[in-house]
Amino acid sequence: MRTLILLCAGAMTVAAVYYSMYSVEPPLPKNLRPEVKRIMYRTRRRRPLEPQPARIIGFASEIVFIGMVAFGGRRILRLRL
Amino acid sequence: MAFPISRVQLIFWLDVILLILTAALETVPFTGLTLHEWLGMAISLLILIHILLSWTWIAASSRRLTAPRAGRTRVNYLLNFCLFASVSAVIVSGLFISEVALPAPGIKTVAGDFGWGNIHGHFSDFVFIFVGLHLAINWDWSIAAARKCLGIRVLPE
Repeated sequence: MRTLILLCAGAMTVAAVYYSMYSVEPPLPKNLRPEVKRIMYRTRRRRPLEPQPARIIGFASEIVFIGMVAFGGRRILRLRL
Repeated sequence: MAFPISRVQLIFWLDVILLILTAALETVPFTGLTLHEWLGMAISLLILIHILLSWTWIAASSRRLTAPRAGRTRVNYLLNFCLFASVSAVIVSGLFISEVALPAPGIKTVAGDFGWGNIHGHFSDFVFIFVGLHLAINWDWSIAAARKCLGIRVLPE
């Protein structure tokens, strides 16, 4: 059971890294005027959706991350309380 | 007329929906901005129901905070308070920077504002961590409720 959990966590970590590489964007240049920055920021937010697999992996990895925080948190809280 | 589902079932399924919505809201590319904003407003109503259903616990814990040997209650209370504060910050900042849902009926927002955008981004990370810890401290209840609601029987060893 423990091996299975570790394997799942490992697989999802790889998936999450893949997803984060997909969604990383370079920061905006610092010397832009505020109006230009605002327009660029809006354009980014309105960009088309990512391809289907990346979106699903992103969503699944969020659930797994919450599960991992819960799993780790449970152990810590059990030790402490 | 009897309510069609029990209180435990109602709380359990509400929590499941909240967990799925939280994960969906954390990934804007999954939903797209329009759905993200509408779901964000919908989740605030569900959170309100979640809090109202837990009101007995909130009232009892508030009274027990200063009692001796109430360490677990204090930690749980603090975690829940942090989660509530983070969620409130995310929802309020999200309304301020709304680009689709609020401007549609003509409500002016400060869409694109970096300050509110940063608050929204940072506090959503906190929400993510506190949701995990909230789940951790209520793990035993969640497992028991899942067994009850999904009809899973545990065989005696």
